[in-house]
Amino acid sequence: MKKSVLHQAATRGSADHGWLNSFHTFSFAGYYNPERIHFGALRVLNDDTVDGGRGFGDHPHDNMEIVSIPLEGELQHKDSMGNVAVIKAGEIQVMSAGTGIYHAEFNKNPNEPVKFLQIWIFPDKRDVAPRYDQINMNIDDKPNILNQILSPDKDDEGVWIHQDAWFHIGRFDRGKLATYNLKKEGNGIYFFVLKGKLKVEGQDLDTRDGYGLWDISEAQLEATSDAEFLIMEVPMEVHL
Amino acid sequence: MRRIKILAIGTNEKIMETILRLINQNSQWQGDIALSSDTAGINLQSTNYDLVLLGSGSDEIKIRLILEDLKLNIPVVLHYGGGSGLLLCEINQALKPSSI
Repeated sequence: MKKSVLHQAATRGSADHGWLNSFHTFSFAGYYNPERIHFGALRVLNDDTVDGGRGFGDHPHDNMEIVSIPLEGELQHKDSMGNVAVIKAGEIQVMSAGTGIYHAEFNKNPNEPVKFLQIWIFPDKRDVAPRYDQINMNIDDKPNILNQILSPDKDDEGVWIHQDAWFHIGRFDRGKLATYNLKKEGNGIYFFVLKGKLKVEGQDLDTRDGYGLWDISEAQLEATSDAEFLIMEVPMEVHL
Repeated sequence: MRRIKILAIGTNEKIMETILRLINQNSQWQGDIALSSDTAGINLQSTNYDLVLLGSGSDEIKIRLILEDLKLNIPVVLHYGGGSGLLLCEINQALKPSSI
């Protein structure tokens, strides 16, 4: 039988550090809510805004698949593997932290804020070799379809990670209908509305609402306004 | 009140030093690190820990065998993320509900 969980935008945890304003769908850093730890392998969904010229200094990560999706502005990235890059809206960045990496992220623009999603997915194996990738999602001219931007397969569309997860982004006109078919049995899907309003399996969702569904094989969605949204399909069983 | 004693085990020295600093930043926690299973075994014999945290490079099976040999029933947590993001939650979840 279908199961679901609704995380309305206003119920997320938040942290205002002055230069960083962050909303946490799941427990993160100083925000701890035992009812909101993870959705299957989806562990972190942070909605961050960083002031111009500011950012995160050198800090470590290990054993996590870390996905960054800029929504506005540009993010400067530098890591211990020697990667120096700028990612901007329309692109997606992925890091497999594995045995350990250090990296720093700063807003490249000194005057304008950068807005981005930081998403952490539990890896399907620990201590993999660290890796980094970024690509242009090429979705500007692809409205009204579900654009795959992440998968477990390096030869498939989008970036890849060490987990049986698939991400899609949709930019739908009002009234557009679609069906999302899950790729793998045992997975769940988590919808996150970036802009506008969406109806998923009869549930109305507003901007920045999250909605998780599992024990299903497909989900019906409808844009009830012009809408932009992210669909994250992840395994529901994780080894913790 | 006695601080919760945490042994963090992992082979990435730089990351483990960060984890140790983060643990000791919390006034309720006191941490040690072990960079190998052998060192962890020595620590576990000499100190009464409340929690074992397994970072990158640690050998979960070996650590669980050491705990079994020493007849220690201590919660073991797989640490993910390598920094402050998940640490509070992981420790709270492992020690719930009595200790926090």
